[in-house]
Amino acid sequence: MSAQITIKVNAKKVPDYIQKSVERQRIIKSYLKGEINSEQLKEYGIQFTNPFPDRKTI
Amino acid sequence: MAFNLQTHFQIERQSDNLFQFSTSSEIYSISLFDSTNSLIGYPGKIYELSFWPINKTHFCFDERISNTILYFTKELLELDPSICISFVCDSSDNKELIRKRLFHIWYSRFENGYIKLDTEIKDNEGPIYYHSLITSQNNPYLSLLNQLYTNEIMILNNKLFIPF
Repeated sequence: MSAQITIKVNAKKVPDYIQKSVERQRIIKSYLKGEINSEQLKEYGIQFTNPFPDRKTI
Repeated sequence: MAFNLQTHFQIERQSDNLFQFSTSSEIYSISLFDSTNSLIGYPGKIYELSFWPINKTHFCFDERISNTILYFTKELLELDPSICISFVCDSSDNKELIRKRLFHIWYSRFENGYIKLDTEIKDNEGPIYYHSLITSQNNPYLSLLNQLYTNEIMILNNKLFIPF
């Protein structure tokens, strides 16, 4: 098994990167359900990235 | 013991850069979002990973599903040792703890050579947010990553910091 470090935090404020991630998940789910289209996805500032440019299959 | 990553589904890249794989009854989607800017000062890439079943109608256990997600994760991390994968457990249906436990079980089957930084963040009102960062133990910026990540949490939360 690989290594693991756990930190527990009682926060007054959830960090922005968590809030933004949660919001992105909500929007991507709407996209996958067909509730919004790719143009609307871009308007929300979400563009999927592809780190495997030379591969069509993984 | 590492499990057999050969027993996974083939993942296909879609025109919108989503990645998809199909089981006998379901289609799963994997998305990657470049969130490198989320950790200021980190010189490597950070990818936010999410995955969902698109047309799930009933519970169906298939070990190849988790194998496929882990295979994808491994392929991504092997591109560059400085890559980090960020994962926040979806809490929209109040099943974030189940996802966290499942993700941990999957990770525990990963072979040696990787490190997972977990945070559980609870504010005054909302749910507990479970966040993980996974990277290679050969990451040349591992110390810096640990330092930046810990500092950010401490600063953002007025040093209400309880490590264990």
